[in-house]
Amino acid sequence: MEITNFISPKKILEIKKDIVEEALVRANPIIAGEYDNGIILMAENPNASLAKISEIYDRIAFAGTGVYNDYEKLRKAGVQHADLRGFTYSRKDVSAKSIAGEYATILGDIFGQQQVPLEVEILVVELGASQESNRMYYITYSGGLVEEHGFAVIGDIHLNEEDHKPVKNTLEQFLSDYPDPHTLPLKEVFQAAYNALDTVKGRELPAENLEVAILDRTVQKERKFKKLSRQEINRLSS
Amino acid sequence: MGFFHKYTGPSFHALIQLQYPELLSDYRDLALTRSGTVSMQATTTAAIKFSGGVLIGSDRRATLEGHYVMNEHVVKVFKTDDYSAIAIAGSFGPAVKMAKLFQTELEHYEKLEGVPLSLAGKANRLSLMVEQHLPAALQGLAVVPLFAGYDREADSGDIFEYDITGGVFIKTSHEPFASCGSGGERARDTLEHFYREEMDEGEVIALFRKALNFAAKKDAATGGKHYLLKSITREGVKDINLEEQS
Repeated sequence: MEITNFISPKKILEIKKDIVEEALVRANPIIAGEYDNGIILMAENPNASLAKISEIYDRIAFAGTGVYNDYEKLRKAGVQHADLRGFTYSRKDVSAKSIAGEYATILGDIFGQQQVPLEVEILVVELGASQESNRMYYITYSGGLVEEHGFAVIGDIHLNEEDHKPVKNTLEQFLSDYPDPHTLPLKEVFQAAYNALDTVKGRELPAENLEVAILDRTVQKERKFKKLSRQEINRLSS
Repeated sequence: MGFFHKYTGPSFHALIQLQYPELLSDYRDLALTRSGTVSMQATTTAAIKFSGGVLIGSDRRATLEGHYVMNEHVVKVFKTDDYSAIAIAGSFGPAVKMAKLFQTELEHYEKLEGVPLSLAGKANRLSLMVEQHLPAALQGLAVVPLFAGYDREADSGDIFEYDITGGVFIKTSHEPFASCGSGGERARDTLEHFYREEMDEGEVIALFRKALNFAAKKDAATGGKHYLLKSITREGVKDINLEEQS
C-alpha cells in the first residue's frame, strides 16, 4: 500500500488560522467608533508614513492590521475599485458594502485556495447622511463579513501576560461599557477608544503614537475623510 | 481575480488605458468630425494672478458651429482638488471628459500615495492628457485647458497655459494672466492693457469681468450673463458669486 503524507482539509485550515493569528497577535489593533457627527478610526502606529487608516472615497474609509504588504495591497485595490466606479457611474454610486463584499470574497478565496493566506483583518466604514445609515464592516482574514454598530475592532487578539496564550475580544469587552457611542461627542468617543487601547496593552500608550482619522458630517467638502494632526490629537486626549 | 489589477501604480489614467481602454475614446480612425458637434472652442476662459492667489473662470455659452447657441448655462470651470482648478475651451464632450479624468487622476494619486502631487506634477499630468488627445484635435475636436493652482510650499499662485500638442507655458510675473478660446485674444488684450502689479482679489474680479465683457461684445460664441469664476488661495478653492458682485 502506498503511503502518502495526507493532511486533512480541516487540519490545513487550522494551520492557516494559526499562521494568521500569530501575525495578528504581533500587530496593533484598530478601533472604529461612531460619534454624534461621524465615525472615528484609531490605531497605535508609531510610523509617521506607513498608514494603517486611509481614505477610500468621499464618505468611505479603510483600516487594515496585520502584515503591512498584505493590507496595503488590499487598500490599493479598494481605491482603484472605488475610483473606477465613481468615474464610470457617479460619485453617489460608490458604496462601502460593495467594497467590503469584494474584500470578503478575495480574502475567502485566498484563505481557502492558497497555501499562505493574507495575514490581515480589514475594516471598511461609511459615513451615512444620518446616524442610522452609518455602516461599519469588519472583514476577517478568512473572508467573514460582519456589520458592526457602535464600536468595531479589528486585530483584537492579544497575548495573555501569564500563560502567553492568545486571548480574543479583550477590547470589544472593554468597549461594551459604552453601548451607544453615537450619542456622544467626538472627544468622549476618542477618549473611550484611547483608554481601551491603553488598558489592553498593559503599558502606557503615548498620544504621539496614535494614528487617528475621522469621517465627519461637518466637513464642508464632498470628501469627508480627515486625518487628525498632532495638535488635534493632543487637544482631544487631554 | 478581478479585484486585483495588474497595474498598481498611482495613475488613474494609466489604469484605464491599460486595463479599461473601453472607457477612453479612440478618435484615430474617424474622419473629420467637426461639423455638427457642440463646441466650446468657441468660448472665453481666463486666469489672472493677484496678491495671495489666482483667479480662474470662463463664460457659460456652448454653441453649435460657433454661432448657434445651444446652452447658456454650461459649466466649463472645475475644481480639480483642494488647491487647483481647470477651465476648458474646445469640443464639449472631450473637454468635459478630460476635466473629469484629470480630477479623478489627482484624487487617485493623492489617495494611493498619501500625499498630493506637487503643482508642477499636476500640470505635467494634464500636459500628457492634452498631448494624447492630439489625433482628435487634428480632426477638429481640440481641447485646450487653462490650469491654475496654489503652491502652498512656495506660497504662490500659478497659471499654466497649454497648446493642442500638450506644450505647457508657465505664466511668470512678466505676464501673470492667460486666456483661451475664440474670445481669448480680445480678453488677453484687455488684461494686457488694464493689469497692474499688486492687484487684490476684488480688483482682479472686476478686471476679469471687463475682459470677458470685451470678448463677448465681438465674439458671438462668448456670452451668457453670468460668468463662472473661482478664486484659489492658501485657504483653498472658493466660488465667486458674480451676481452678488455686480
